Amino acid sequence: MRALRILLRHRVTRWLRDPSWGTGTVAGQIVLLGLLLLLLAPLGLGSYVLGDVLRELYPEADALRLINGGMLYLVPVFTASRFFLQALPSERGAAYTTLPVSQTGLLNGQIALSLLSVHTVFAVVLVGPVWAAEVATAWPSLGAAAWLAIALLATVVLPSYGANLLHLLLGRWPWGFVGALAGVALVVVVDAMLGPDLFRGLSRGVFGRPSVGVVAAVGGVGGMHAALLWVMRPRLEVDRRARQRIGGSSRRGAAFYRWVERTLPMGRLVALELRQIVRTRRLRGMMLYTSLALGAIHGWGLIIVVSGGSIEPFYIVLACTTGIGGAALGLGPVVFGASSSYADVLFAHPHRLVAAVRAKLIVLWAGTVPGTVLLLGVCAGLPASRSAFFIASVFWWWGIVVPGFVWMGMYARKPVDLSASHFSFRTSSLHEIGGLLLALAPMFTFVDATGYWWSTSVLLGAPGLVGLLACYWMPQLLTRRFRARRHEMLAGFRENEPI
Amino acid sequence: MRLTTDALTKRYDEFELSIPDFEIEPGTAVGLVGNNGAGKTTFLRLALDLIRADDGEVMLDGDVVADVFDWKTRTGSYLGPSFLIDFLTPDEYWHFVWQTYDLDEATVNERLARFEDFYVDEPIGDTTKYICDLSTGNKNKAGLVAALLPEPDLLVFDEPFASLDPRSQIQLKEILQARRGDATMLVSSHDLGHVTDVSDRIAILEGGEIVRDEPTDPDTLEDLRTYFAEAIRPKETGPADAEA
Repeated sequence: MRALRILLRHRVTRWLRDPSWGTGTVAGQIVLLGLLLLLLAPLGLGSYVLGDVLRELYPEADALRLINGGMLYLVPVFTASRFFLQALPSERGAAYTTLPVSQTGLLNGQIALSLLSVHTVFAVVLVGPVWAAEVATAWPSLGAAAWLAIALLATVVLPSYGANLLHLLLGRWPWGFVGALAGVALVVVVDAMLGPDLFRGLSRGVFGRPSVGVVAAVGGVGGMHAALLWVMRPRLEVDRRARQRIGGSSRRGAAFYRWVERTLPMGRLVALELRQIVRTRRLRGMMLYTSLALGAIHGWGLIIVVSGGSIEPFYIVLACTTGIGGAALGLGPVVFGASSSYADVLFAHPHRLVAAVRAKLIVLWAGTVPGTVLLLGVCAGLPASRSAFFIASVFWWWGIVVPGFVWMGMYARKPVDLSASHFSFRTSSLHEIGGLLLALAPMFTFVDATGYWWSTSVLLGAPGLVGLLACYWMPQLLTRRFRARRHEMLAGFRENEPI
Repeated sequence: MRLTTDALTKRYDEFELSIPDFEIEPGTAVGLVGNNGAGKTTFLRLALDLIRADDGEVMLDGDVVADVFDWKTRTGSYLGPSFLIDFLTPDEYWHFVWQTYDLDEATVNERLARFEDFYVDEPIGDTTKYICDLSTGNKNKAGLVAALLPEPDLLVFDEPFASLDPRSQIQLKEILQARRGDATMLVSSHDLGHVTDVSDRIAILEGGEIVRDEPTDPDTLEDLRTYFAEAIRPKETGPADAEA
């Protein structure tokens, strides 16, 4: 408890002193609150009326039984959302290891603090209303309380533990991570092959019989907690380093980097960025998951084309965002923050600012090339109006989003911790959100696109094309802003804690 | 290269660095000493345009550093780990630096060879460890070599002797002494002995102001020790003072 109190006090202090969100903590928190209310309100409302909706749709079925059958599916959903969108427990534990604080207490404290997150709020907002509307009114209070406890353990604690464990497995035993994913995939396949009742039946068993469910939930949480402690403990060993050495295949990489330096514009800086992507955990992980996403999205597109199927809205959303953006979508929000550890090198040495800006543009544009090529391949088999929309989205990305990321990135004041988790996609500033909104614009315009493919294509494609045509002048324009912002950026990188 | 300040001021919450008219003549080595928080690193960062001054400016050969670029091609600096690129090996880092200064490979190889006795963690030209995996001392050596490689007209160092083993400290001192006269140097250090040995002048920074600025002589080291010791020991009072 003492360790938890210390960690909590320090977490609150850090939050209070964090000049996040660009214009200050208060403004940033107000924006965050607004966004949360926008998302949480319909979620809570939907959860409250879920029983009524189910009774309308399936009048012969027991609504509570249907709800119980679906509850366990929230575990993988929330686990995945935490895995992609929540950082590991603080990796600053080393500062406490020499103090008279119990290591186990320290680890338990870090695990407990990882429950303090927006994901927990989402889970509570999803579970609470349906409990109040359907369970609390139908069951005795003890049973209802047990149902709530099981639901919270399943949607808050298990996903948090599971996501942390996956992150740690990925960092320490990549093959263990692959094995865990394979196990999950096997469960899903078996469930599908044996019919949909296996997992659903398990869910009904856990939530329909609270006495059993409480034991199962507590047992599951206890087991995960023990596993998490076991995997986290070595992280406190400050002497433990993964000694990185190059040699063999990495020396072959040297020839590639030399080629980049000699061939590409701003080759020296582009080669530096590429080395950073390959040699740092966070950016390497970003490349990995964006590559996997590209493969999945465009594989799906090819299947649609080959089978003559129709373009689903969800495919359009994915194709026009991650499907084009690829690595640029991951790197864009942190395009300058990722260089924070050597920002002084860039500014103290004779690097022309315009060269640095051009290098960022080149790397981001290059990040969109694989997705663009794959998408254009899919477009070849689609009707002209659909292809036009996708091509317009490509122009939008190239002419607006990429320069937008560079522009927004100049307002970055937080260094990015590149040794952090492989998979973490978090935003902590209004400018990052601005950049992401630009990238998501095709998705928003698509809301009006159904039936208006050509006009929406023009809406997206025209500004993108203008941006592309202006790319000769764009670096100079961006450099003027960069020059004006350089001191604030450097000061922020020095003063703020890394994200 | 001549370094001058003109009403240079930088304010933080309860601290103000004010250096109204400081000048370093070309080829002169100035040692900057002072207690923690005196403003030494702040002044060095202002000189390298890594911090925006609130008032005044730093000029190199008459050009305001915040407005002009060319001085960077004639300046070498190392202020600490933020000047390193830790996902590169030392060879890759030096390679990156030499390209920045438009040096040719033959020149660089010749100059790197002079540091073979200084950077000894791995053979220069055959380094395999990333900078992030080096010891603190070897990291500093990598940064110092990078700063010295272009043989610039201005050298700016912050605590260059920190974390170096005794042999390397002596080697560095000899390297800097060899550069005296050719390069203007601004070296901040807590090692009074070494900084006195490499400097033509010593400037003491206290509370954001230069309180003393005088040429070095054989008594400078003792003077500095006495100066800083007085801050922690009360001055001894004579009989006349006691009776009063």
